[in-house]
Amino acid sequence: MDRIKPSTIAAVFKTALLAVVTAVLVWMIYVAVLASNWIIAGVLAVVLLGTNWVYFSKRAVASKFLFPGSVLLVIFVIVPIVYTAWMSVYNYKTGNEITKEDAITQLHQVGLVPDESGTNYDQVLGTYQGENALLLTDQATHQVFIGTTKGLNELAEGSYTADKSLKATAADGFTVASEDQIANASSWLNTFSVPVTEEQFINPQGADVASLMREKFVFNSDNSRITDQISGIEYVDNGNGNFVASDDPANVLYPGWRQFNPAQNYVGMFTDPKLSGPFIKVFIWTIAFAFITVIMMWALGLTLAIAMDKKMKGRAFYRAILILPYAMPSFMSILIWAGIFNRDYGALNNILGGAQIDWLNDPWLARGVILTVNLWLGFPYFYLISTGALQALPTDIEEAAEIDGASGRQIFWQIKLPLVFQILSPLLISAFAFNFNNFNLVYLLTRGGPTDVLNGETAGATDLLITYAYKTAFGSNEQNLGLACAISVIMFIIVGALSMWSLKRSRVLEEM
Amino acid sequence: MSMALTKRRKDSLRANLWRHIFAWLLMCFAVFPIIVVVSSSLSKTGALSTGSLLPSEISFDNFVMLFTNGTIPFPIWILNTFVLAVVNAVLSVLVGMFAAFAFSRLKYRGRKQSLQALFLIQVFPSFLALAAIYVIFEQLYKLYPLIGLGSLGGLLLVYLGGSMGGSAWLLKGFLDTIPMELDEAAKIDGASPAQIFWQIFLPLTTPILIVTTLLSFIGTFNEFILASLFLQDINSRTVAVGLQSFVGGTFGANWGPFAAGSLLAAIPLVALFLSLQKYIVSGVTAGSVKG
Amino acid sequence: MKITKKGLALGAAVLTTAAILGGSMPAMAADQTITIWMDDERGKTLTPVLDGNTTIASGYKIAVKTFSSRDAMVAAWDKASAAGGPDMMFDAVSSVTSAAKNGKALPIVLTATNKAELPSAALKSASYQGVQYGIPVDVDTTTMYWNTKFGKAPKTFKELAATFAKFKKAGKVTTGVCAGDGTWGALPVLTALGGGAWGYKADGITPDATKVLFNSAAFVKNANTYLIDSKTKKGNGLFAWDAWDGCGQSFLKGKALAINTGSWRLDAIINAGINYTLQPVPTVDGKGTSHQWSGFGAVFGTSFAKEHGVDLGVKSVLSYFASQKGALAYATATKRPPVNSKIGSHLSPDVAGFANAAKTGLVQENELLGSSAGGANWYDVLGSTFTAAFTKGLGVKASFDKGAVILKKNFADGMSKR
Repeated sequence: MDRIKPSTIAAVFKTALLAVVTAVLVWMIYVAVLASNWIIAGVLAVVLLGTNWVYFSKRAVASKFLFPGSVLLVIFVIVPIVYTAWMSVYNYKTGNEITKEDAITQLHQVGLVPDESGTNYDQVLGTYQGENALLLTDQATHQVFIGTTKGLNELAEGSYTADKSLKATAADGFTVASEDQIANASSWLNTFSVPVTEEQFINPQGADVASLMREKFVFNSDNSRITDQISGIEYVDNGNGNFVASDDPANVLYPGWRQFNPAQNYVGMFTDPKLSGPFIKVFIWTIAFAFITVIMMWALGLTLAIAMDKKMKGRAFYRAILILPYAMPSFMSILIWAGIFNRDYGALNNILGGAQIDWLNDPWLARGVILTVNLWLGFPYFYLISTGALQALPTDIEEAAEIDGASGRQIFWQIKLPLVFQILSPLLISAFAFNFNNFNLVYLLTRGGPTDVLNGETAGATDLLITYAYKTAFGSNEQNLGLACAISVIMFIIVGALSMWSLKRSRVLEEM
Repeated sequence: MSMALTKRRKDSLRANLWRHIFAWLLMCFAVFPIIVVVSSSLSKTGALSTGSLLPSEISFDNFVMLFTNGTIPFPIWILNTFVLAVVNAVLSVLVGMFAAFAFSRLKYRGRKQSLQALFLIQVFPSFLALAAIYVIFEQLYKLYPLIGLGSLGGLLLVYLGGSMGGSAWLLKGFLDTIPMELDEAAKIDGASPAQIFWQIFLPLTTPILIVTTLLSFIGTFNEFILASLFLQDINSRTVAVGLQSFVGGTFGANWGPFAAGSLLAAIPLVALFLSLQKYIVSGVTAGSVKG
Repeated sequence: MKITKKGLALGAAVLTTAAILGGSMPAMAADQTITIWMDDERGKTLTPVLDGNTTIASGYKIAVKTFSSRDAMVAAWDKASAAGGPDMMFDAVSSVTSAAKNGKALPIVLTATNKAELPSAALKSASYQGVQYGIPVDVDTTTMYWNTKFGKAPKTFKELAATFAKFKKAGKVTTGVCAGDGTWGALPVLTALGGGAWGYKADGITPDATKVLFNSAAFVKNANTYLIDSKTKKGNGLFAWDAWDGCGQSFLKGKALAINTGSWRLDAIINAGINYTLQPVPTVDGKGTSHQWSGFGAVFGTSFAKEHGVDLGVKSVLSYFASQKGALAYATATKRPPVNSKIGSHLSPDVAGFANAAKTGLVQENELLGSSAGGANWYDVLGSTFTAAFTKGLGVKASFDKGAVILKKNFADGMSKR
């Protein structure tokens, strides 16, 4: 074993790499602190300390190998999963997306409405008596005013100059802002308001126009109510993310906010007949699809791997062609398959001599199409991993078996295949889980259909749980994100339990 | 030519006959839709030729267009994709290999649990998790544009996040087949786990490393959902995202250039596969045990 | 000793890297930039006009970000927050109303001129709960592209049916009129034959959800006459629709007489070498006119603009697009039919053709069409009904009656939320 020797180069390299990582992290923390982003700064500090401890410690050997992957996994995979689970306990849907605080701010802003008179002013920016001011021309009456935060002063004719369209461009005592000043005016213009009466005020609506406004919605933080000052309606918090009129709960103000409501989505999933009605039917097809498709892909991939395992003429050519389905962008392939199976314009019916087979509109044919297309998409992957598995089998096993007089067939069925299966079984289970949730395939190919909509069906023949849930949560005008998150969590529990069960059965874990 | 040689050749042809037939049948299945892509890429009308498999007229306009149209930086897309795919493949296989080595060879508390947890995590239906990823990268963008939203660097980080779950189990399966005597012998010689990893395991696992690299490489080429969210600037797009704009319009799908671009993008993948396949050969493990 | 060496090496490297990084501190994004999101379709033509512009809103620089598809943009927009979200967006008005409902849109005030030049239906569709948010900039509407290879466009549906029968017999075409874009382009055929979606109240623009025209007696009679093959009792190919766009591809190859689609197909059709004329689908006797959906595209400001402190700049850009000057610049660049009624004379014939078509368009009421209170939304009901009536041959009346039951519930539900 002369290959094993302590290497100073490796040590130097390791130290240098660590140093660079440390420096980058320190700099990133510095930037985050400057921007007062304490969450990012904190997370990075933990990563920084973790990195240095793990790689300088003499003890944490396993951590040295697991650390980089784990950090990335936690931040980019686990945090999003936790986020999804967290959102599932909120009333979180179209109209209820932002926080309550933001919703109140936004409602206030929405409540700044143009006065019923609809008065608009052409506006020139400048200063008056040393203060920021607006030179305003009423677009309808062409009266001219100077507006400041103190109030509005009408100018007598003659004290200003106007252009052809009667818009005032300059006035006595008013200094028109320069280009530069206009460019920087947003700092004050954003919050600039000219009081006119008790209820009315003028707000700039850009650099050159202003409007007479009034405040419609007033939020009273004492009793958490909003009063509409024009109609007099009182809006109260309905406890589920919206302000509603106190005498008419159907009169809802939007935007609302996402309200913590832990049971709503989970209970709704089981009580909504639209969702729970076809559940069993969809569930059975989902399981059947995921199971059959993995078996088919693996059987084909493995057979191919065995066929290509031997040196033969044209093998490189075969391999290049057979890997092609995997090398094409899958969303394009799926759309092309949908075209091929089209009843009227598809290549398949053309080849069959102008047949009128409605591949995608017959429930069983459509299921067959889904399986066929997925087989096409997936067999190269299984071919690749099966090839890898076959190559990794120690050749001495085979030699030993040959010496013992086993035939080639026996070696394959009794020795090679079980070993390959053992290596690949976790991957087969992952593939099962993946196909259980194979949204893209079904959505792009059949949209879950055919669905007998006219006879009251809501779930299609090829709908998987995930596509059906998606259609229910997002299919209509309202996108129910909270419900979709809750469905994800439930699906995770189902498919996770199934996978763990099969993992246990495959005895992979016992081997460890 | 000797009789013996001719006979052997005949034998091998007969023995391999089913392999050839099988390969040809499967090739028909594999290329069927790809013929549609080829024929659409050669069609002038931009229509998807799913009706007839042979193009009625041949024109290379679609290919020419990809390289001459000033608003379509196709070569840059290819370059972006290539850089992203190479860096991601190397790093993610390394990260996965690190993890697999720990899972397969190192004894530590909670090993079984961590493996199970890793398995469960990748089972989560993740398309809603995109929202959280997006929020994280918006924040990063404000502080570090290089790895934030819109950057290839940020996209790389997300891909790497999934790499441990993606390949550690696969790689672990292979490491398990390497005889324990090998590292025990090395340990007796005084090698540290790091040395065992770098100097023994990495060279021994070439076939599966190549397979995993290929899987990762192809995965990056075809990944589309995250990339289309992330890469907004036309010059930072990957091929899959860039080409999508031809068919992603309201309905004004222009399949011609899309098909041409997809074919061109598949060439490096196939070339890579062909050039690497000679490393996917058996007997590496056994050989080195003996040596 | 060993530790010290390591420590020294580490320290030195840390310092070097820190120095390099320190020199490349990122400049914080300039506050006075207005970021506009749009999909590639608009982006291709608008980026050259808008990106980097500093004159539309003085003091602000416009930055355009484009997405490879509308789906990708909407997906990003759904997730966006003030940290990376846009200040403005170009998209269909449905995005304006949902953004308003979600509290992510910036309310605006219209000037009298804007109100006079922009049709009230368009303005209303870019508003929510009585507050204006968006400026409508273009009309998505369809018209019939007739392939002139098959002669002059017919004046009546009767004539259309005869032309189809002739060319079908000769093996020249497989399809008569293709409803482009899934079932979106089907409405003109339905209305040409006396059917449609819903009726209208006396004002002519408020939908009357109680009047469902889908299975009207006139339509059933006409559909049986023109669209059904008397022998097979199935569709005769004169009318085709396709979620996958098969008939659209067929038109591009010259195998369909006509397609109902919008300006977004213009380039594809020209590139395919098809000579065409634009006109509505003819009615049975040539009197009156058929109708198609028209949906508006709009530009709107986001609530993030306020958080970024650029909301006034955004309002200036919005008022630019509301003005004739801005509307013309937009229409010239994008070749989309404009909403602003004052700029018609400056348009190219094709764009003017679509602007003209939009006049007979029915506003695509998303609340009604998208509702699935009856079990499925308008688009899915159409697909299923057509399949039943024309593919499976289950009878026009039976199929459309069933569809109408569902639609009635949808429309009632949609009106209550409108």
